[in-house]
Amino acid sequence: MSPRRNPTRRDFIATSGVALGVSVAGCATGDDAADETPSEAAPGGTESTPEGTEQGRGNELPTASAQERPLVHIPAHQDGMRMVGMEEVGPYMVAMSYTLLHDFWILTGKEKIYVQIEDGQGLHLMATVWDPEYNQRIPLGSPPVEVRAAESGDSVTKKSLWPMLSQQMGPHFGDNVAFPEEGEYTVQLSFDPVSARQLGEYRGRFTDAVDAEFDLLFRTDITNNIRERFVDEAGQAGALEPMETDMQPDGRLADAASLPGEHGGIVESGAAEFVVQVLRRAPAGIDSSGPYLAVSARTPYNQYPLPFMGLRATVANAGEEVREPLKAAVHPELGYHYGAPFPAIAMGDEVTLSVGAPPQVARHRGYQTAFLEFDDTTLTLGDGT
Amino acid sequence: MTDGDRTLTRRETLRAAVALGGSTGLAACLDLEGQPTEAGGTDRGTDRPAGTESEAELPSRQHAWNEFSRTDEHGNPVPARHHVLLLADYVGDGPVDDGDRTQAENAFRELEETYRWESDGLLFTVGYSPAYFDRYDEPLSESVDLPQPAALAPFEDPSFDTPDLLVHLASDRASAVLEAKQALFGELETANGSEVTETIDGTVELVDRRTGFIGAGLPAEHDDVDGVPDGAVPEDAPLFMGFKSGFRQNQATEDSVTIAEGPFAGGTTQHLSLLRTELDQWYNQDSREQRVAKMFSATHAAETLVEGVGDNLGDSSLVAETGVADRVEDDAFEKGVVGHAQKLARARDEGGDPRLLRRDFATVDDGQTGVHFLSLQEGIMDFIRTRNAMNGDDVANVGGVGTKNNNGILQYVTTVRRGNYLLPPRSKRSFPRPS
Repeated sequence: MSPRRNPTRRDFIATSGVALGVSVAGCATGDDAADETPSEAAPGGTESTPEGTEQGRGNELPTASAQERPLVHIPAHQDGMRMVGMEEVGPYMVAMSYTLLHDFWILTGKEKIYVQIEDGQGLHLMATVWDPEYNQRIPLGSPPVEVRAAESGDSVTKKSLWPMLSQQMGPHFGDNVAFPEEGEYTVQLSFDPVSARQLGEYRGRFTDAVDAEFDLLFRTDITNNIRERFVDEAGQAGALEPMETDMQPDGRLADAASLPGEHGGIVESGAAEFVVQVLRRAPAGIDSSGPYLAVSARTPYNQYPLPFMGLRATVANAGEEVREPLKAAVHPELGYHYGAPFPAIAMGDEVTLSVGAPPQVARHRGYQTAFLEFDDTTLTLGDGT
Repeated sequence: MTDGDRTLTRRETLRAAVALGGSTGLAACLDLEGQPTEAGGTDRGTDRPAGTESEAELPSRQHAWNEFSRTDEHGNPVPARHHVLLLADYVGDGPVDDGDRTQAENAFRELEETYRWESDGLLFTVGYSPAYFDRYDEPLSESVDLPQPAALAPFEDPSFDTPDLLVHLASDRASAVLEAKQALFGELETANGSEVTETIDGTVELVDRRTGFIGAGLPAEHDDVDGVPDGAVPEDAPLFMGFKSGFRQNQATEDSVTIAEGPFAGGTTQHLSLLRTELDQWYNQDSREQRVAKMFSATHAAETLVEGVGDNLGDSSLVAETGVADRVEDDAFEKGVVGHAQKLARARDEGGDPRLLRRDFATVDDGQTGVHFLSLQEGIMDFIRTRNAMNGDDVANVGGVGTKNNNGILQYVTTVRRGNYLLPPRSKRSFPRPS
């Protein structure tokens, strides 16, 4: 071996990374799909940043138009998706689907990172999980996924899917996965026990780890046919409608009027809506027989749950103040919500909600600037709204 | 040595030779170690020190490695760079006979005479599993806390290692860990210049051989495997996740992990797990701030306490100094993330000291990145308590933290195997009786 160090593959990539990293702005890329996709798709040129460079990579560079846009807004295009399969495993129904490679933002605390589309061919894999009895989507954290080539069994990727929120898919688990070539693959998903409190009929229901497996055919002629529509209302306040399918619930939470308990009101902060309910008796699974304060934090328009958030309530009555963190929970009628028992809570009390960590879900376009900064909000239970 | 159409660097070759093993690997190593090192290389030449002839120079504890290792500028012991783990079964059923016991002791003694007891020579331990002790009618002494391995989280499903014994070989020299294995199993006539006369061959059967490495530069050189993006690992990172570990203030001392009483006083327990790491998202999606928050704490990220791979931290990860250990639940609620080191800092003993002495190292066995997480502790319960702290169950539904998401590094690490062993004191390292 020569005493002079020969360049390794690593050196090659380090020096050529800038040139290789150029990608298409917008949601669609991939070898063939890119040809049919205008490369400047985003409204007002947002995200047409030097994303392919080391500087641009991993940073969302805000533009003037991004700051003027409503926090929740209609994205530039609407994509179709393909269903891979549906499977009942344990207490869950799991649907596996995919769409074109997407960009998105991941969140740790308030640190938000733009994840661009990598060069190459691949899919944005999505899993949605719900309870088939009450049709509630179930939050499962970050389920591990492994994709293998069907014939050889070779692993293509192994990672944990991010909990994500998109306007069309609602709450789901997803990430982009590069596929080395066309062919048949198997996708194995693992679900850890649900960490949110399981209440009422859900008590003890989601406590086992379960696996689901799907066969996936990756062919560019199929992905090229995933329909995309450019949306005229891009950048305006609003949200794309939830994807309609006959097979799975669309992820919306029940209207305030349909929730159990007495309705305390609705407040808004950080573009999120907080529907406040008081149940006279805490549901099974809460160590109290007194009243229970439930707060359903949701997106505007589509009414999707906002999971993995630090939420606290201060309940005041005649100079007495009780301050408690609200724990995330799932319940057949309330769905995903935050709650805690407050033994003396009653209509007429003042409830102040304050947010610690913003909802730790990755965001697709249209949600990337929302649900990040919250002001404390106060309402009087039962007073109006 | 080549791999496909590219030429391997010196460090890559040494690591690859250890993974390959056998006479081919050893020949490649010795050949390379005989050549002048590249500038900045830390592998040594062939002037290997001679063995330790006098038993009086050897410590009574098998795990007494720190004072025989190099230390860095901050006083942290520097772990040996190359490691081999040999999992083996005793060939007989029932209690071990005295002839085999003597044969094994002679072989281990000869290893010490062949290589100097230091990280530049050879450090090794011999451990015994609960399965080994099952061969005796008598139970293992109650002074030893050595349960069968078990799954330690609701989200893990590991296989269990149940060989009778585990030999851990460690050296800064790739050739030494390779050669020592072959000497131990009677595959060589000479090792390090001396004749091989004693072997454990015939008393045990090798069931698995695992390899690994730790030290600045080694992971970056071996990123062409599954589980890590090429070119992502910092050049000077000692482990694949890109940060230093094993700070002196965050490690148990050899004294504190030593069993104090009973027939195995002077020994310790050893836990070995295989953790697979999946670092695509870690390096391609998470930002550096997010990585620091998940590895250390949100405070470490916000106050930029960690530079590069963390050499600037000196001899402490600063989890105690910053008080973040007491803010795990608050951080989960307010910051939405808790750090790995932050959670582990809660698993201190009554005196406020860490319970584990980590001697883990990175691996690319089977073409996948991972960690052979090897730790020493007085009893396995110390490991379980520490692992429970890492699991972060208590904050898995607090604020922005989930079972794995934003819960330290759990999202990136999967436990694949677990095994527990007793490291007897040196005087009882050869097929010990249970009491």
